[in-house]
Formats: sequence, structure tokens, C-alpha cells
Amino acid sequence: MRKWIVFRAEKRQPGWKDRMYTHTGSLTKTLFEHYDCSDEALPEPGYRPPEFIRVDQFVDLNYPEAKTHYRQSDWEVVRVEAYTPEIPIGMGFDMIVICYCKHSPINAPLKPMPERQVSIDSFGGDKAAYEQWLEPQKLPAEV
Amino acid sequence: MPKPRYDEEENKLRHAAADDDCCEEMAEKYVWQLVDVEKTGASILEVDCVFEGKTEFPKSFYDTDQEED
Repeated sequence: MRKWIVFRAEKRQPGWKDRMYTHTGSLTKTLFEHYDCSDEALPEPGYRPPEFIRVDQFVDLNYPEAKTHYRQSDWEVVRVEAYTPEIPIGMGFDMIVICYCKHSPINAPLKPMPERQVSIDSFGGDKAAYEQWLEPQKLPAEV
Repeated sequence: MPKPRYDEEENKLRHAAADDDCCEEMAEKYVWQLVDVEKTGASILEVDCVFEGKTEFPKSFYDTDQEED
């Protein structure tokens, strides 16, 4: 089931002036969004969506803007609403889920991001592009 | 007590991709939970797709063929 899960700040939560879309500068209450195609249950009150952080000293120079760590965020789900289309045919999503969150700082410990995996799916199934990417990976490293 | 859907102690998995649409296509194809899409700063694999939980990238037939060569 394709679920668009939006984590949204409740009213009068701190930091509202800094929550904005970078491409427009408009303020927003949206904190995170997930695209969940699994059949798992929905988030529940108490759940904290993860946040992803880049720590300079751990940056891989091949992926200089990538995040290096993650942790539980300072936002906690307090209420969940789910909406389904009346006629679930030809829709982009099977369910829209809104998780209202309150700011509840916990300073959770950082965990390192897992190794990055690459496959033909990384190229949208384009075999030629995947092969082209693989070629330099096969060359022996210079000493 | 049943385990909540999003186990906060559960690991993440990260897969590089050419663009953000590839991330959504992987989520749909493998029935995964996509929890973040991030820019990498790389020229070819420009985004990281981050999935929740114990997902594992299934080997494609193409990958399997390569290993058998």
C-alpha cells in the first residue's frame, strides 16, 4: 500500500520561523515526509521520526553533501489521522497519513549511516548506465 | 505488546540512486519504507535513498549473472 506520511508540527511549537521550504522561502509546518509502500502498521503516538545529520569529519569526499549520521529527532508524534480515496483506482497514493508532532527534545545519540549500496535499481533499471558506473569501480586502486 | 510500526531502534538502509524518482520506484518495487531522500554531491549517483528497517537490496538477475562470469 502506497502511503504518503506527513509529519506536521502542532500549533505553537518552537522554531516556526525557521521551518520553511528552501525553494520558495515559504513557511511550513511540515517536518518530515515518508513514502511507505510496506504493509506495516501506521506510526503511533510516541514515535519519533528519524533525522539525518552531516558531521564534517566523517564526510566521504566522493559524496560530499551526503549525511553521515542519523538519530531519533526531537519531534514526537501525538496524533495520527489517515485518509483514503473514495474510489481507490488510478490514484498516486492509497492513503495519506498526517502525524501531528510536538517538539520534545531528547538529544538522542548519533548512529553512523550504513554503507551505501548500489545496484541496477539505482539507475532506474538502466542496465547501460549501471554498467558504465561499474567500469571505473573495477579498476585497481593506484598505489 | 506488539512492536510499533516504526521501531526507533531499528537500523536504516541506504541506497544510492541517480535521482529521487529511483528512490520511490525502489520503495514500490520492494515494498519498502522510504524515510529520506538526500543529495550526495556526487555527479552520477546524486541522491541517497534511506529506507527503514531490515530491508536488503535483492540482487538483480544482472548482478547474479556478473558474479557467475
